[in-house]
Amino acid sequence: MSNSNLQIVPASKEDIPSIQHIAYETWPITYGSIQSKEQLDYMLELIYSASSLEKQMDNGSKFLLIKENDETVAFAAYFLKSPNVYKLDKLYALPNQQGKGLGKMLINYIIDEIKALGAIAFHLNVNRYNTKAQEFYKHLGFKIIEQVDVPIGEGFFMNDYVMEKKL
Amino acid sequence: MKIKKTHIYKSILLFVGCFSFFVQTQAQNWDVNLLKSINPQHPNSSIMKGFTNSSYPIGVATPLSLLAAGYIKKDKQLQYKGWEAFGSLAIAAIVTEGLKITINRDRPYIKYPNKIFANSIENDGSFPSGHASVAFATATTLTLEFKKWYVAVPAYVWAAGVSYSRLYLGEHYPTDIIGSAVVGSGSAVLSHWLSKKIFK
Repeated sequence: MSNSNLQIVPASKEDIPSIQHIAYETWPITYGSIQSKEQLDYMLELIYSASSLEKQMDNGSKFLLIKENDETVAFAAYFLKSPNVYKLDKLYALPNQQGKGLGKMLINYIIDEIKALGAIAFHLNVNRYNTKAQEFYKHLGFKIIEQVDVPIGEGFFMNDYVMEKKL
Repeated sequence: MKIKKTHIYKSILLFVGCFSFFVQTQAQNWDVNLLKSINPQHPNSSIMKGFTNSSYPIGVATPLSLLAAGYIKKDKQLQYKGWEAFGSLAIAAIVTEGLKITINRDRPYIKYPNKIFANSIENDGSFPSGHASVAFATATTLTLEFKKWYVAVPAYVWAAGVSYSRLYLGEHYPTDIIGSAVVGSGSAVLSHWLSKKIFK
């Protein structure tokens, strides 16, 4: 059925190329000034290779897409972190779609879903130097609760804040 | 008469002010519930899209055709009417844009993604609706200028159709539309008053 609706739909493995497309479009813009090119390439391969995305889906990460006119314009992924606490793992919109509220739309959608599953908190990790994203999450009611340096192999680290929104 | 008119403008301003305060502070359940009853899960009607898509072209064509006819026929009255319609559109556009930026209300499909289903992504504030503001400015201007029921009735039916289509398509709350009705018709009244001052 072809329709021109704006929709949030769960992603399946057939959607991996669209997810990769958005990641490859946004990552250099988002992290280009924060991380070395080497780390960026390493992380993209680590997280967004087809086999890695498939594994994440199999291991319980739920991927959501926003589609407009059958084009995927944004995506998010989340999973159960600990009992009743969910973690937003990914949230990206195509550069030409930013500022239109799509990130907020995905977060509101996920919060509705996880509340129905009994969630009491929603967590996420954000790069400590990505102030734009931190502001965005603060605006949505997230608070910084912890500072973490996550080793991701090859001597690379993710220098993150853990943010939390109580539900 | 003059005093009465300034009262009208002041109360319009007051109303818009109170209204935006209300919109920002209240969790309006009736607002989203009414919207939910109008907005289907797959808002694809081409009639509704037609109403939405007709707003800006008709809004712009109205002053342009009045002006063109006025200058071709060298009809001063028609020229005034054209400028008045142009003023109405300009005021409505500026006020609408200003409110969109300052109030910066989230679109209903952003706030209630499980409940309200939009047809396409918009990139500005929800309050008020640009399409409905233009439609009400146009309908009110035509009514004030021609003072004929056979102008007024179709004009307002069209404006109501444009307004309904914004709800059907999931792009606006009912309160956004009420705001647009006030802004649009207020702009028309203001332009009508200004044109009288300028041209008489």
